[in-house]
Amino acid sequence: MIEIERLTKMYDATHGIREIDLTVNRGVSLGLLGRNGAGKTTLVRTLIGLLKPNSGKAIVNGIDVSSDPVSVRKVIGYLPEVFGLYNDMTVYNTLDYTGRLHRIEARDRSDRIEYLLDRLELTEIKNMKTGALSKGLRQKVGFARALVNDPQVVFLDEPTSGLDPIAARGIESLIAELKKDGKTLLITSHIMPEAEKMCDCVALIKDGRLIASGKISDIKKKYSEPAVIVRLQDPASAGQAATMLRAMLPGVEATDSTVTIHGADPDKTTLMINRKLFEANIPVLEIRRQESSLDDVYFKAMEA
Amino acid sequence: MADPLFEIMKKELTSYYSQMGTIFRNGIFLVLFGALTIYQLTQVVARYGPTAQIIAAGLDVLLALAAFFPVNMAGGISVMAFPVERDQKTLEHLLSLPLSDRQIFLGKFIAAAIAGIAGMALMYVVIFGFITLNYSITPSAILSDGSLDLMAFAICPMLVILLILVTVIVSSRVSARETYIVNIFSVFVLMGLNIAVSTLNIDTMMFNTALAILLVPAILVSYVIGTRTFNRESLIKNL
Repeated sequence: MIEIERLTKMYDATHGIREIDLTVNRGVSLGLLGRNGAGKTTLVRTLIGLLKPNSGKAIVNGIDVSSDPVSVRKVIGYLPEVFGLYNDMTVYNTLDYTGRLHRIEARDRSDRIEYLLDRLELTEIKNMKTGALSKGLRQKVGFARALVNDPQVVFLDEPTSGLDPIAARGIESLIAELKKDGKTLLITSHIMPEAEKMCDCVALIKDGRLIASGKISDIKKKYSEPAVIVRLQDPASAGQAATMLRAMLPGVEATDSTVTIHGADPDKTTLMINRKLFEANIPVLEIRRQESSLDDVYFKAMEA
Repeated sequence: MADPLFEIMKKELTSYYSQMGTIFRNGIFLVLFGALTIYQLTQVVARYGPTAQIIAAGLDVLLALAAFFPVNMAGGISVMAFPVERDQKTLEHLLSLPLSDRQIFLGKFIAAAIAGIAGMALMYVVIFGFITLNYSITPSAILSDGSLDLMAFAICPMLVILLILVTVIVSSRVSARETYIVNIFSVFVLMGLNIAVSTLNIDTMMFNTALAILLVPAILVSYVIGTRTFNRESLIKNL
């Protein structure tokens, strides 16, 4: 679990994060979304004790980051956005070295490494030098390295950045498995469709400030333009339906067999629309709320 | 379970000595500085005669020159301490591990110090080996001189450690190139010492004693500065 209270870390008068309040419950994956330079990496680095906050409080897995950063780092896994591997080390030795620095006993360390190699499909290349690996494989090794200590909270900074779609999908499925294991995840991203797939909740950051946070569905609801989509059975009746609905509601638009009513609250208008069309004997296939993508919501929130 | 600082130290040494380039470069420096020291020693012996006392007096001055090699050897590993980690993007992950600042700093420093002291021992083997083979004078006969003992077993190792400490402290703040410059600059310190002992008409025993006494607080102060000012935040900001 991560609890953040009025956390501020400023590099100068304009750069940094300001008064962030956020809670990520156990087993939840939160997507931290924002433009480049919005403060996502600063927040992550502050949460793992690499940067000292100017004010506020951050608790990770019950440990105060400011007073005991070393203990926090024992229970977290971290994959930085831009990371390197020791090119002269093999995949196995890379993980083993990290395990040693975590002071994991030899037997537990070996079991854990074998488990991660197997789970991340790295067993076949475990004796290869990391310098000889492709970007996708290096990302997997970096991911495994972040999990050597079986962390309770995992911070992933742009985990799919620069990866081809297949490698990115592999990382996404790993994240899904971590969620199943009950890990708390904080994932920074500016690729909305990926964030939507990987996360249960999102937090939007703009100029170092948290502008919205919550479940993806709630955020969508909050920032989406309300609209109702009516799909008709007969395209020829779209014009008649639109004319009839225009008499009651503004923002009615007809295209093919669909009538869109912009600005209409689906909760308040669906029943009424259905009744009117039924009375006019216009067969309806479905009436639904217009779904916005996280991309649309993100842009709207950033413009707000 | 070993303290992580020893794991860092072991990894630094393994990485450093697993590179062919490192072994090749160190071999060249060993031959270069070894040959230079031995050449100067043969000049002294040619002028004043091949006795244990003359060789001891000559080495009193020349060992500072021989120390170029270990300082240079340790310089390579000191540069790896932080700038190379920064360049190959491994530093942020290292700093995110449950290690104290002291463990990271000491792990890096001890690795460089071991490399330096090992280099110094290697240089002594070369010099004393040459003397034994060429003049049939054993090291024990030469090292009966108190002033040379101080120079060989106190001043030179302490000087090497001090210069390595300074290089590691500097390396946590600047780039690899700048660290190399500091390392090269440290050679001038040794050169100055070499010139001072050889040109000034001073009592070498007194000079060496004073220097040994001065080096102890210098190392302690550098160590305190190094560990106290080691700062993850500034390392992260420079990434």
